[in-house]
Amino acid sequence: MMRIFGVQLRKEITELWRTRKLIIVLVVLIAFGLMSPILAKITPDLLESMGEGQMEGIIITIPEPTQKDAIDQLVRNVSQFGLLLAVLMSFGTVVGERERGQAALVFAHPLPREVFVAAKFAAQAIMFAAGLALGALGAYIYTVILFDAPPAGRYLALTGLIYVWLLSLIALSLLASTLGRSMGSAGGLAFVLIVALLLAGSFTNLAPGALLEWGRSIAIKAGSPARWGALAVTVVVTALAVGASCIILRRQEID
Amino acid sequence: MTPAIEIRNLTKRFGTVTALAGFDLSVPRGSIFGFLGPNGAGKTTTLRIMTGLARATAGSVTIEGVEVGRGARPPIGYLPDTPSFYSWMTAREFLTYIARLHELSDPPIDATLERVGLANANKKRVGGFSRGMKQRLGLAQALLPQPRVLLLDEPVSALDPAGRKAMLDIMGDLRGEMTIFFSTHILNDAERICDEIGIIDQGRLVIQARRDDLLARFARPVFEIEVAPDDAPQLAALAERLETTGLIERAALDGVRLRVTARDLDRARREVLPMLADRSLVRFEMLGATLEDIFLNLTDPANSRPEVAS
Ligand SMILES: Nc1ncnc2c1ncn2[C@@H]1O[C@H](COP(=O)(O)OP(=O)(O)OP(=O)(O)O)[C@@H](O)[C@H]1O
Ligand SMILES: [Mg+2]
Repeated sequence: MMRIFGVQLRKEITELWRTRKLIIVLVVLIAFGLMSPILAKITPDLLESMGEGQMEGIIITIPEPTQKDAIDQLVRNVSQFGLLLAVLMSFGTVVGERERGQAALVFAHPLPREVFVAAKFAAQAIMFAAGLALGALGAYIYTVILFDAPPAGRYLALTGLIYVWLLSLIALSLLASTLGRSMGSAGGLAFVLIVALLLAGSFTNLAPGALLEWGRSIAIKAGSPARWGALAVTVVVTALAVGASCIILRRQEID
Repeated sequence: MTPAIEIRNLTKRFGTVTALAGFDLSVPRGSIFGFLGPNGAGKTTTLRIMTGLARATAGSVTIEGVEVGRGARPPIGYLPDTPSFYSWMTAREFLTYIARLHELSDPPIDATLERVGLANANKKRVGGFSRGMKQRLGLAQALLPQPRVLLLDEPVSALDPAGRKAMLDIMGDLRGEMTIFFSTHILNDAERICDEIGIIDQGRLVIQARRDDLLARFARPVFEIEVAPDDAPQLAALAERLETTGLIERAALDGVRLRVTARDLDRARREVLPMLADRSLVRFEMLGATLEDIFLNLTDPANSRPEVAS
């Protein structure tokens, strides 16, 4: 079982590499990592130059940006583009292989369907771990250069929480990919699941989205309450989505 | 000897559509079995159940003593009707991947590529493969783990005549190494290499018989004679002469071609050809049985019920 998982994971990672998905995720996350502190640094100057001459007599005082602003930018950018990437990269993986007929070929070989699903999740998890790690490292370096050094441990906690949040999005997209009968319906379903997840965030502090605010608060020492409940919910949602995908695929008839 | 494949009361319904109406089938070990039927007969559905990709509504399939869908995996190789690969892999990479799934320690990748005629294309991305090459790679991935039963869904239907012959030759060469079960809607393909033929129509097994018995039983007593244009007038004379001998039932002349329906096939075979001795013969052909003939014959109420030979 573990050997087959290894074989399948290798296939998935090679696929992500050869179909350029890996490079896209790395480039986008690194780019936004690097841009975040830079944006934080130049935003006041930008605002100032835009305001010049237009609002005579009005004096706007924009506070000098700090590393807190850099971290805010990072959380905002990486969560927006991370969400987009996580959904785009995983909503087509299972349904695509079924639709193209590759699944009919490989499932006639000794490849357990749960291994197939688990390897897909693991490959995405590895890809986003790499992308997020490099993006966060880039952001950290630029924050140190442009401002001063944020506490490394706290910064690491922020990155970890963003990652856990991303994993839940990947797992839900994978579930949509397994349930969907076509690429279109899987995409639609992924969209619905993610929107539901985001909406849940505005009702309860237990939704995965609370992890972002918690992480930000840790990194900038804002002192907001810890969200252990949200962490537990996120882990459970992720595990349930992956587990459900395995069971659903196991029961499915492959065309 | 237990059969290689044993199908019992196989039934499959898709909503209100009954794709398989509950049939039995038994494939002798080591045989090449042609599973013949028109479009929509239920061939693909049967094969998908045999491979575990779909589940039967009722009934069972047992392959080499292993009941499909009960946990254990039977020793099969499967070629779907339109095999689809990872376009980013090469042929060799795909076979290596399949070998790893089977945990083969020394997979015969080169020999398999050689066998299907892809030895020269093994470093090419599958994305650039033609239909025929994909079919060959499809056969290669099915053969690689050296299964005891090979299941092929319309392996030659999409190929040109040369590709068709090549594929059938490869399948013929495998005779004795494993049991081969393949579907087709063309009797002629089954006729060329099968030992045994089963015919399915509307989810029912119409007949199962040894190929030779089937062909003998349904042979049409029809042959066609074609002569050079200069001899066309003599052909007309021959047609008239044949009609008077009582040897034949009917003779239909169409320019240089004469189609003759014999009353007694054996006698006609012996006597008609000598009559053509001094003609510039272009073609003299016995027209074999067609799937249509067999259907017409079997669905004719005057004929016997479906039967299973030996
Ligand atoms: N997934 C499905 N959902 C609904 N009906 C189906 C499905 N698969 C097959 N059928 C129906 O079952 C019947 C048998 O189809 P099947 O594909 O097995 O035929 P076939 O003999 O392989 O035909 P062909 O020669 O065209 O490949 C057809 O009436 C088909 O419409
Ligand atoms: Mg078919």
